[in-house]
Amino acid sequence: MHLKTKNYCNSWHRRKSRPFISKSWLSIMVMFFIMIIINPQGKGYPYGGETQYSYANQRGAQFFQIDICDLSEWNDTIGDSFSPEDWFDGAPNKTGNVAKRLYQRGFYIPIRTDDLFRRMFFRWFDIDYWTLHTLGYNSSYFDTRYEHWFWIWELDYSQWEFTSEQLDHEPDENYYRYVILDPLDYQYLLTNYDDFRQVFNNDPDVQALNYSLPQVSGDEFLFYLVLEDLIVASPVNGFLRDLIDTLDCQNVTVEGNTMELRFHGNKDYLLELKFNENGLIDRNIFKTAQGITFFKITSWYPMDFAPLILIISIVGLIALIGLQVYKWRKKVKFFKNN
Amino acid sequence: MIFDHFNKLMKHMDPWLLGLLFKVNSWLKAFIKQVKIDLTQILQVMKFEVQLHKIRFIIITIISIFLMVFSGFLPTILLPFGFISDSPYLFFTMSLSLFSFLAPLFSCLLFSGVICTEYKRNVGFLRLPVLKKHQILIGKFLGNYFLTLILVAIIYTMMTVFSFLFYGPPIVLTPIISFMFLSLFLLAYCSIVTFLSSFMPSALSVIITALALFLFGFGILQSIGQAIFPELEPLYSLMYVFNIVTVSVQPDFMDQERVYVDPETNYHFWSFPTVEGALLTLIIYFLVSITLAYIIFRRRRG
Amino acid sequence: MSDTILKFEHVTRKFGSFVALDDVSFDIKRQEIIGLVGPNGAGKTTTLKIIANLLKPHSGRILLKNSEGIFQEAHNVSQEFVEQGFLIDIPDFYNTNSWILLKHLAIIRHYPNHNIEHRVDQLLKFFDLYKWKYVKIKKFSKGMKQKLAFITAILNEPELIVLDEPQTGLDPESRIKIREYMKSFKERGKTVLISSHLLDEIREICDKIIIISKGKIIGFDTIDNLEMRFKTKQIRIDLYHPLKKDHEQEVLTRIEYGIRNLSGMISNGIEEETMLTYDSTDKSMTIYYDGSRENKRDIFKLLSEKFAEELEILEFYEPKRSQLEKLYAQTTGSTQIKSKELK
Repeated sequence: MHLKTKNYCNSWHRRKSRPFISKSWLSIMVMFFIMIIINPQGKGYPYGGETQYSYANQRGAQFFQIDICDLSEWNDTIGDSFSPEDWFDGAPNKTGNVAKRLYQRGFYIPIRTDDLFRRMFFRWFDIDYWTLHTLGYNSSYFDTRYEHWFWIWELDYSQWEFTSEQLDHEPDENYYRYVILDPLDYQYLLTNYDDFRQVFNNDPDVQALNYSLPQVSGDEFLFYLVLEDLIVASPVNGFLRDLIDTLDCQNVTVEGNTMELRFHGNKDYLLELKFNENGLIDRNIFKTAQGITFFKITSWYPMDFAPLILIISIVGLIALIGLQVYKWRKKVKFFKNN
Repeated sequence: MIFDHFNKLMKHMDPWLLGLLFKVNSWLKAFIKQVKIDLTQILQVMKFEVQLHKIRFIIITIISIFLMVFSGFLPTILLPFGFISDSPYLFFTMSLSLFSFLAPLFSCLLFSGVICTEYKRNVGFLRLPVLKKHQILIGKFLGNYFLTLILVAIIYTMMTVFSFLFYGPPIVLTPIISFMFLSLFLLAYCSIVTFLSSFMPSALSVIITALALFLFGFGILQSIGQAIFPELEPLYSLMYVFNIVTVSVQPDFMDQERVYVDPETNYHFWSFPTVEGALLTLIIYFLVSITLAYIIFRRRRG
Repeated sequence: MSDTILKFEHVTRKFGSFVALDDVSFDIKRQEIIGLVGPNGAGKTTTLKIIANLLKPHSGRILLKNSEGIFQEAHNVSQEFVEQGFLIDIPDFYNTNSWILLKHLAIIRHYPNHNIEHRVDQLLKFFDLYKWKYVKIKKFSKGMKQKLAFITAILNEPELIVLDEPQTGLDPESRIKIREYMKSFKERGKTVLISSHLLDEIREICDKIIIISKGKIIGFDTIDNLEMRFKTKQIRIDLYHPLKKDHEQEVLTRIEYGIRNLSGMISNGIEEETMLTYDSTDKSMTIYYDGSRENKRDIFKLLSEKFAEELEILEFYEPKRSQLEKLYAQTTGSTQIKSKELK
């Protein structure tokens, strides 16, 4: 056989039998996936949290408006110790005032107990984290003691406080918030907190500094969460039920997507929170025991107009297409007749 | 009664002055008549040009909308890690940085054949005996500019709608200023494309040259200019002037620092021009390019 | 009414050092159909382009009469009433369909809006393009495009129609249609200036022809007058027997000498003027003369009396076919046509 032909035949056979992906590329891809799973830094956090709940990561603006603000009834029912300004930033003390929140970004990440303690209990009870650090209660301590990983959504958002004037385009503050997907995690948190609280309060060094952590019941824990505009996972109804069951809340009921908390200030009163399908609080309603509303905040989302805008666009497009089809039919009729 | 007074006045007027007045009057009448004819013909050429480019315009608009939706809006709301910037101003700035490069590209596709297509296989012989060259040039330029403006307006409207969906009211008004600057920029850039079209043989060569000029030419010119005259603001570069389109969305852009001087090298980093500088540059580019285009077109023979 | 509608006065046009038109002058009157003939590169298209204001002359001027009877320079013609129609060179078309294009052209020529569709339909139907009304022009064949180009020239019923080879690429039926249409122009008071290489068609349609060669006008008159002037009229003589071979040249020389001595048959100064041709195979002789009856009579007498022995004349007649090609060849110096013996 001629040399050229022989070489051609050989190369043809090579082309025919060549695999789709070469072995070297395949091995690189496999190693890459293994690295992702194992994590080269050696921390070895679990791949994904296992829960039936999810978070939709709704982005965009949420506008709040004070529909009812009866301050005299508020003072009568709840008392002086807790005012609307303690709950909401800015000036939530007048009917018609507006506020805004812009949900900008969400990350689905695993975090440890340490992060949540700092974000919640230490901040609520004014415990200086760096002091804790020097006392030996640093992240290694918490990571070793509480090995559980929490898979959460970290939400970045901007906030515009309540005001009677038109809202600026620039926000007042930028915040971040955690959304815990598994109701059971709230129980872990509370249990871990209680455990740490006992260790912490009995630490002589801590006592010397006059620090202490209070006991927190399930109801109280839920109240603190609600005070910080709790965001829940979906399906909302199931999540809320599991949450109050897990935390063993005595003064909370859930109906549909609405959670009702019972409090006692000067008198008994109710706080009704309605959540939307994505887990954000739509409505805050304070009612007397007799059911009279004395404070109400409602909200709306500009993104709700998206279907309307889409419909208008589609109708406009159909109209344009219809016009073109009409012209085209005129031509087709002309061609048929000629 | 007014006529009586007028007649009396005319009787007492110097005959020379009277003659001059009549001449001026008849000249004005002829001028107005010519202007009316010009406008009618220009309008017809505009309409025809819009009809010719209808399909191309629709395709370009669909592609632009597609790009804006699939690169701007949808990833933000569909992708888990999609990010909404702090304020609608930033949102507009980010969206514009993509579209602002598409706009010259697309307008180039419309303007590249303004003059040279008239000489392609003698197509212009159908209209050149009837229409004056300035009527053809102005009519075609305006027709294509009208389509360009509609495209830009559609995109800005879309961005405003997206901004409303993300951020809610009040709707920001500063994009109107950005829109005006982009329109002026496109006027200047398209007149350069028209100038290229006046002497180049084909639309394809015009597109390649115009895009090369926009993407590289002005940048290189700016680098050379700044190397030789570091303190001179590079208003001669359309790339530099173009920056005002994205910057003008910010409400306080006029208060922002426009130039940073490196203390060691004395190199001036110019960010964006002043409003007056941008307006002046764009108007000069437009007037010079369109005048040259007209002069060359007049002298060009098929 | 046959007043002047177009004046071409001392027009010169150069392309670099090449002189395309050299001091060309002619007038065209109303209701005339003028043919413009000449070899390739003679200046025909240049002339038409200058009338259409596509080219500017380096000297001279072109005057067109408007509806008010006033002469205006071609580049200053008012656009208020467009009274000229042009078909210059072989135009291509914009990327659209014929209806949109014709509508646009009609509007810019100020054709009444309410009549445009009717006029367009009328013309498209006449030229069998009606069913292509909404089809993109780029799908048309070459002949269809040529017909459409002709339609664009006559769309607005102009007073002066300038056509550059309107029948190129057309099938015979379409040529007939165009010919008929052009003949009807005259009846409707239109003036046509047509440039063509199809001399038979020129002969049939045109009242007068302008012969142009190397940028100069060689002749501008009716075809009959030009034929008389350049002696391109023919007499054909069919013989019973061919001439005897050994005497053939001598006889032919004597006949030619005799013809040249007739009055009015002196050479017109045209080089290589051929007065007599002989075909032995066909047994025929062709004599070129000035077309006058007297000379025809004298030629007949000369041949039948003085050459009775040498020639046995079977037929003596004037052929009806066009002799325009001979005229063309003679005036433009076209060697290709001259060397061809016309039968």
